[in-house]
Amino acid sequence: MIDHDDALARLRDLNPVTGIDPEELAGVVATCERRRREAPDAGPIRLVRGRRAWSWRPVVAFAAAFVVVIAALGLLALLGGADVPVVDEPTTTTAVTPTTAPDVLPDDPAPVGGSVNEVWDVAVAPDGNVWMATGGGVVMWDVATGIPRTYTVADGLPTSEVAEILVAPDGNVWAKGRGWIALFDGSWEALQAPQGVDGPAFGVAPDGTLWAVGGENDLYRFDGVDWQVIGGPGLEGVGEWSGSIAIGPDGTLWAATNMSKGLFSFDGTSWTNHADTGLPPGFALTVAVAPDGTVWASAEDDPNAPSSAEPQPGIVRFDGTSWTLFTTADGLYANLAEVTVGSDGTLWAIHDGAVSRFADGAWTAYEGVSGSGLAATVGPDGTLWMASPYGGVVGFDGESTTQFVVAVEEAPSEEPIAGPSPGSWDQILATTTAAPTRPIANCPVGTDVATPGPTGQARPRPGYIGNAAAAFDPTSGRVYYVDVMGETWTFDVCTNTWTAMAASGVVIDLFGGLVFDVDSNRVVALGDTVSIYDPTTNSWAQSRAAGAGGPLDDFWPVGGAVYDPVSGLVIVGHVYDVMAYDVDSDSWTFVGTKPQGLIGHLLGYSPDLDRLIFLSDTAPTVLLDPRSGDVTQLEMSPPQIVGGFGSISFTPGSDTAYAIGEDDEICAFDPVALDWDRCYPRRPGIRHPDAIVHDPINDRILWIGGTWGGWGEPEQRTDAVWSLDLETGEWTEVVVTSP
Amino acid sequence: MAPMPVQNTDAEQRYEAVFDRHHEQIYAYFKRRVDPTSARDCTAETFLVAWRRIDDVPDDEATLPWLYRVAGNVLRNERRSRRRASRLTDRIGGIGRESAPSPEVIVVRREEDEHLLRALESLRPADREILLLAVWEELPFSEIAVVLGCNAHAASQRLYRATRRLGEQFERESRSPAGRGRSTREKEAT
Repeated sequence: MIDHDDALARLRDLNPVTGIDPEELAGVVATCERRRREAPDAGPIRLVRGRRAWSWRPVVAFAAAFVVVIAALGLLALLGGADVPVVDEPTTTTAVTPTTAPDVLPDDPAPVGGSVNEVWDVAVAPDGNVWMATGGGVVMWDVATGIPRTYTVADGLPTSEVAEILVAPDGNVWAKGRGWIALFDGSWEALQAPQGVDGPAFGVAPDGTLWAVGGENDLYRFDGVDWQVIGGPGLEGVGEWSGSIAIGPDGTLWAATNMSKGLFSFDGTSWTNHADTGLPPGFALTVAVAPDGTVWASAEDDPNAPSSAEPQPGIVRFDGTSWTLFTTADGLYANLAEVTVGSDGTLWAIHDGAVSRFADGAWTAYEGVSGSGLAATVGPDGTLWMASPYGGVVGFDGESTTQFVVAVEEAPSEEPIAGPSPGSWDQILATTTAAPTRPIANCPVGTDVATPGPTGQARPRPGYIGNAAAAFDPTSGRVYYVDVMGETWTFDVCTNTWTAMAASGVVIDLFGGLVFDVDSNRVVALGDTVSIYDPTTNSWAQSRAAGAGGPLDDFWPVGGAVYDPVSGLVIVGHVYDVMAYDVDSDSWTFVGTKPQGLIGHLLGYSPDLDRLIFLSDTAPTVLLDPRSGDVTQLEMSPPQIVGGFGSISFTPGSDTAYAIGEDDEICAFDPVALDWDRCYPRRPGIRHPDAIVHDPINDRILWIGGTWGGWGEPEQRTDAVWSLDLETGEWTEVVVTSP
Repeated sequence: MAPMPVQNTDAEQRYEAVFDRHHEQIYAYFKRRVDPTSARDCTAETFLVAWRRIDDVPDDEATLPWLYRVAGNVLRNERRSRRRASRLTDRIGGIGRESAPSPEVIVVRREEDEHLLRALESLRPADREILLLAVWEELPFSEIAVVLGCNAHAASQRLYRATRRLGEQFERESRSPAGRGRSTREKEAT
């Protein structure tokens, strides 16, 4: 067997990269710089907002209906292609009388502050640049350079939430939000729009007229000065517009309906119901018109149809004289689709989890290419662009996909976690008064900490989590422990040995836990009263500050406490407040208010981020900047980390906090990933420790005592100590249960 | 009137200093672990994180370990993405291209080296990573500790254990008849 040094030396010789070619490195530099330019300005750690509901219900309704329908009918039976009889002249028309619509402002302020990666609509300009209507503004992606440009209220948009976008035949870009439309011809000009225009679709005719559908069946026309509202077909049972309209080269407007209850066209004077022109029943949900005037339409399933009914018909094409039906028998991936057509005539059908392209008279299906189902369009080169389920857009040219995700800029959350307002956060924690960090202790060379301590040794009495607590002193390598009876112990992490300490005056019911104060070399016990343990004199003293009036009258520390290596103070979570305790002066300071929704919590700390970590079973993980009071809400918490019966350990010298959840899963907070994504195997057998504490010297978690049973079973307890090796995930009983 | 030159912000200046000092090391880190194209993308992603969090990037000697730590996360994400992409390619069919052979394949020079590399491959990712950080990235314990999120003592212990496991695995590979006389490329082809 090769020895240690030989193995490393041989491995060193196998280093595959010992130098980088300058030309290759220049390419790396260019890539890095390009990617950085795409990114927003540097800022603090990523703020992840809770997902917010989009307030424009028709959009959601359409999207949801589309997705649900697509999913529900993934296994449609095949239909054969068939020509549909031609009807040269409209058989049903409805005269309309344009009227001037009133100028109406939105009823309520439009929401602001969604994400640029919540993409609601996509359009592609003749130059190939991709425009997106997003929850965080209009984003233009310059395809040539890969650099995005985001337009928000700062650029003239009335709100940053934008529902739709289109590129007009003249190259100008139109955006639509709630109660407004805006034109971009180098800069944004915003215009009010009637309430009815809050409908889900709009388009621009070749003559520059802007059309929008809204209401149940209304049509709106904007000539650049005035809005006119035009009645719809006025047919019973048609329902609302689906949100899909298209304008042909001759200016005819085509509009599809929800539930595929009809396809209608308006030639400027009258409506045509294409149920009367030979359109098969059940059409159309989406409609698209190619540059040559060919009309394409797709349908959705009818949820009210009997299950025995013939399944849905696929995609139809109207060439001006006849309707032609295409189904999976003709090469479509599926019969349910959304259709979109490009300026070069390329037609794409978007299915659930696949797309189909119609070119040269034939369909080609591509499985595995999909978007979010919210929006799709075709670029001038025939590339299909779809809103991506991962944010941004995904492009597919028939051979490869291109994903574009906009770097998320910080924006205020709709429902922000309310921390203290600026100015109300006591700057005491921003003052560096901590003593210099003392070197962390090491176990003697040759120590095997996996070897159990002496059998039959004296040890603390088993108790319950919340009634016992532990704190680690990184410089002495000892754990201080107060058991359920209030007795004081130390645990040597190198020998796995307990030592009883003479102790009196310590609190019982350690709701707030035990914390080691590095500055004063004392241990603070937080319960219904506060006591201080001095290891040098092996004595406890009760804090005189607790209950002495002021904000501490009803002091009830919960969820643990941490030693702050910057201020040198002990930070404690009160029910609603954050407090700081100075052992040397035996004084408390009110620091600020806890984030809302964190009445029950576990408190930890990340030295990498310099953030307090709040865990709660009623809110996501929250990071709190102890210097400013700024609050960041994270997107995820591990499912097992909840406040109810949890426990948390942050030890001075630790890299981060470790928490144990209701189901006894131990997870570490990763300050880079901003998530509790380092979780370890559960300890076999015993559930619910009396306390856990991180041993940074040996990089392990000590699990002290434990309770199991109960709930109808005999309750049992152990006085053992187990260790979890954070490197291997292996559990070892380092103090064996007493006989 | 000529336009005023755009002045770099403090953040940009700091980022550029970090980038200039360390981009070659970070690129080499990735190139030792993934194909060159992915290495370039991962390097860009790592420095994008540094740019976005420039206020959090530590100074001086602490900078590089911090970057390696980010790089480790980027690498994990990249591998997850690659698995997803692989699945997508399988479904679409015919669209994907074969990725370039990994550096480990290229450097196979002799049977014993092959055994060692195979032993390295068989280790748990955590063991493999600490060995490579120590040997290929040539980081001292103090910096490995920062990368791995532990203290230097724990880092030294982990490296010791990982080296011991490498040696044990090397012995197994050397003794295994199936492991003899086959190149890594041949092994992958079967």
